[in-house]
Amino acid sequence: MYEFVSGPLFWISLAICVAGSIYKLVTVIKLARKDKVVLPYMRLSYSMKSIGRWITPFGTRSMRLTPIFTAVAFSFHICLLFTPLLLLAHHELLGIRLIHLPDPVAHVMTAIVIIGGLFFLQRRLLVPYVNNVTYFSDILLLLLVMAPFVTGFLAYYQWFDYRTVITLHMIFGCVMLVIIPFTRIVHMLFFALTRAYMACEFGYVRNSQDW
Amino acid sequence: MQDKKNWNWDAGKEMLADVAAMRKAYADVHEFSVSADGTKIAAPVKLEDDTFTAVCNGQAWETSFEKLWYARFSPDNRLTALVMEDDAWTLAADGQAWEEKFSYAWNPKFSADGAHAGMQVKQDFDYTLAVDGQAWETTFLATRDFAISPDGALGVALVQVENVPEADIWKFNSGTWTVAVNGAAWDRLFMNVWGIAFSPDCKRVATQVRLDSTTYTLAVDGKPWDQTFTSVWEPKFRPDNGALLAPARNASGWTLVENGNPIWDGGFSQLWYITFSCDAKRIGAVVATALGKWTIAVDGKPWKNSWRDLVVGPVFSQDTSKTAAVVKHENRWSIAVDGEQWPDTYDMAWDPAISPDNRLVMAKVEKGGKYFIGVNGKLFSQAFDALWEPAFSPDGSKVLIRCVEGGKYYRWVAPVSQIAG
Amino acid sequence: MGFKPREEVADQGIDKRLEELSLEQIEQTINKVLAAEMNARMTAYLQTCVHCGLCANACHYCLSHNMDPKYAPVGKVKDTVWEMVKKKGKVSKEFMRTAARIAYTECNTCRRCSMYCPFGIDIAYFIITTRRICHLLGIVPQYEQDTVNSHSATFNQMWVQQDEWIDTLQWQEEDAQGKIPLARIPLEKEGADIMYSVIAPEPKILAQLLANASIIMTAAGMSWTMPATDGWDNSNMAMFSGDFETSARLERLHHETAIRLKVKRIVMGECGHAYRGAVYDGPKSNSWMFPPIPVVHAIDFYHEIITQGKIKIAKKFDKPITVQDPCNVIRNAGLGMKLREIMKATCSDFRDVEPRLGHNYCCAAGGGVINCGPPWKKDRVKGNKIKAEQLRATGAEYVVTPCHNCHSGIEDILKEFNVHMHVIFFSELLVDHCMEIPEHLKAKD
Ligand code: SF4
Ligand code: SF4
Repeated sequence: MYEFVSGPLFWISLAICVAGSIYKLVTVIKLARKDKVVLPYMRLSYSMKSIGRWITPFGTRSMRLTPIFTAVAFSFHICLLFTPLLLLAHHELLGIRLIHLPDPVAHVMTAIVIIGGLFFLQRRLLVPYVNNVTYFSDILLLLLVMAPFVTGFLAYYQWFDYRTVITLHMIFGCVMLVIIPFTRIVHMLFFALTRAYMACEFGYVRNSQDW
Repeated sequence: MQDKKNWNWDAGKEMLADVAAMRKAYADVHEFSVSADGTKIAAPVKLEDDTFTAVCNGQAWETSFEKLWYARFSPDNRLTALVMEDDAWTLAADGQAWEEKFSYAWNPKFSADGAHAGMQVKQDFDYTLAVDGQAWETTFLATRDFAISPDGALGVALVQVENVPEADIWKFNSGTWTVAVNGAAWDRLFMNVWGIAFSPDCKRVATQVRLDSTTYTLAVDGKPWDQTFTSVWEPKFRPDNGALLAPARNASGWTLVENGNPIWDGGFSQLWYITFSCDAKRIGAVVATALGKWTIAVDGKPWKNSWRDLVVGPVFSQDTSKTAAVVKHENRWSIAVDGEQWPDTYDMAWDPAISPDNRLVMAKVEKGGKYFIGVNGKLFSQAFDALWEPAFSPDGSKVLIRCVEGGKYYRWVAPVSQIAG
Repeated sequence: MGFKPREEVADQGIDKRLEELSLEQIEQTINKVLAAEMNARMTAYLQTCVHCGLCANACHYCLSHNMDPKYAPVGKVKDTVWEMVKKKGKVSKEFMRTAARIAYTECNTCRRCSMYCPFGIDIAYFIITTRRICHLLGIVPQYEQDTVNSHSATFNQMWVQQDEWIDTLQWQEEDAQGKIPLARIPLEKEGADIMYSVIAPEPKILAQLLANASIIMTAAGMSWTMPATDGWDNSNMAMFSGDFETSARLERLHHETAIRLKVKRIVMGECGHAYRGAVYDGPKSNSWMFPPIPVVHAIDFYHEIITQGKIKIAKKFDKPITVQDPCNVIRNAGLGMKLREIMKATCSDFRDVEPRLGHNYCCAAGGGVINCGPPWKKDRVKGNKIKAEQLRATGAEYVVTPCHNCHSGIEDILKEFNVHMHVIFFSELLVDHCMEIPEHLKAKD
């Protein structure tokens, strides 16, 4: 089991993730061609300017209005993305040598993902206008995203049975990879596209700015 | 339409009015209008006593009016204007006002030979048409457009015949508009009617109609086509066989339909301004092949080049082999001939004319506040302060130039060689 | 959760037709539109929205209703398009009734939320798609539909007859001559530089604005004209009712009138949605990528003639004054700084709003909402408390609204929330208080 999960399952999941993502992007770009009023207005400079703003913490008024959310959301996403990529244990498993995070940093980052997830969860449950658009799938998704981090944490401290926990951790990691293109996590891929389109609508067509 | 053969085509330049002097002579001089043959130039002027009259070639009409505007030449070269006296409006031609007066009158139009004139009028609270000095007996709740057939036999108006109480959307939906021909409204009412087209024999009348809020088609003499569309544009009758053509939109886009059936393949993003060659064998139209890709299609085949902003209706050469049109790209105007644009662009360009021998395409253009004559892409060196669209003589050897230079209006007939030199 | 359900509002335009419709018709129409609209944007938006609710902070309806979730932009999408997609069009009549209400009366399609959503999701696009469905089904608020009917029959939004239009211009020209004896409204002047176009309320109820235009144009020495034919009205409510065919017809005639008159640009009066129709949302429906003839909004035009010294400011207006940033020309056209420059050039006690420029709150009248008429007025006014408070905070006695919808909408909310402020157009400020009449144009007596 462990061997399968740590080897083939990972590669299969990664392949699904990459292929699925490419498929998703290609479909949307193809659709955009059919939609007569999208591509003719796309311009790189407006897109980059707006995306730049929106990936800068507190770069937009929207972010400044909700400082706690912004701080949590940025930390959450950064940690979510970089912890798995830069973790020594992951590198060792794959037999690659790259710069990696010192253990204490990785810990803090994992904790941030978990705390961030809990923050989102309470928002989903307690803030009426978020709750109104919260479906079971949203909660499940959040839990699935948190799962590899929680299990990773547990595995490191060797709480519970290590082998079981680490296997679970790997399974959740693979699940996470697989669902990226096929669930709302696709927002990580589409962010650049939807933002770029709106940036060009605001900037190129309407001489204004969208932040 | 005037027969250009009857114009004076003797080469020479004649000063017909001192425009600058006129501006000094009157309290105010409004917009100038020039006859097609160039022999007359006129404008409404305000007199010291605050009344208005029209001045033609420096000569004022004997009568003056409380108001006078819309000075235009009829096809038979009479100067006409809308005039008001004692709160009543009418049409005056060469200083002579119609006897019949109206609460309001506007939009005068003429038959092709200029012998018949008509306009939209309001009498107290009723709307109708007045043709040749006489209002129709039938009146309507509103008129929205009108036309006189080229032979002068038909006066046609888009009319509202039933009242729509305030915000009564149901009544409006049931149809309150139709077409009235010589005073008699069609039996069938429509939600909307737009535009008027005459058959070549001037016997039939066509218009765009909206049957309900999402269904459009064309109607001829009150009878809509069986085929309906999600939108249509103004129709034209074929000059040769009298079939009705119109741009219409279906699932694949805009196409050209004849008597209800598509005759061009494929769908365009847009299609309007149907034009026929003189022999009616070729059909041209302005089309967009995609967003911001405007061009001319002849017999369904678009030119290979396109322009971003707009293309105005095509002009065919007499032998039908050449087409030319005004084009605009990234806010610069130019002329395109058979799909190729002139190298230069202008602040403005007017409809081109093609010489009878097909060699030359000529257009009025504007650059830096001055007007020029462009021929085959090159500008005739002389700049004008004002210029009306130049015309080729019937044999193609001369050009009629109607222009203002140094405060004076000239009628100038120049050999083509001089202009195109 | 302490949020009250909507109060019942009867609108015959929606209710009566809904009775006649079958569920199959509803299903078919929804699916037809969604199939046609299931393009890149809709697909990407539906999959990308993470249900985070950040857009709630953007919407004046939501802000004015104590963050009531049903007024949050994403809440409105949930109760319209999401449900239609999820149920594949099999929705109830009651659902459609609410969907129509949300789409027509609870969203101004002002696009503020797209600046608050991290993904730039175009909520207005969902709302307009819902309106398209409603238009095809014939369930449109009665007064809104009546306006669109007027557009389709008369090419203006207030059933103005052709003679009334020309006649009004003629007597407004005379009125302008009271101030400048040689003031003109040159009709049908082919080859002028500018065609000036307005919306129908000007000739119908605010005719003095036409005299103002004549005074400003004459004093600035512009070469301009106005059409004496249909095509003079630049407004477009069909764009907002979902009747894109009528919308295309209106925009075509407006631009073709300018093309026929051979003008180099169209200058339009102080109206926001008309700019949207003529410049960026309207042209696409006729396959124009950009307006075929450039269109200059009044703010931009006043800025041009003031900064170029074509008109001089004789005296600055000295009462405390603030400004409304109309969404369609500020957030959606970037004229905010120019608006401030002309305010400062003409007023000595200008008090800016906060938030401002592209982040300004919508007036809640635009996007076709005010045209839904009396039945919906209460909802509209209540939905914009935040705007009244924003204006109150400036302490100004006057507010300039360079948009007709803003003008009426703001008058309504100021009254409702007891804010004492005069609502004026910029041209009134200019002509009645600030502008110098050049010596050579003055009456000689
Ligand atoms: S009114 Fe404006 S902010 Fe509110 S949902 Fe509509 S577009 Fe968004
Ligand atoms: S802010 Fe954007 S992603 Fe979040 S709920 Fe609103 S529309 Fe969806």
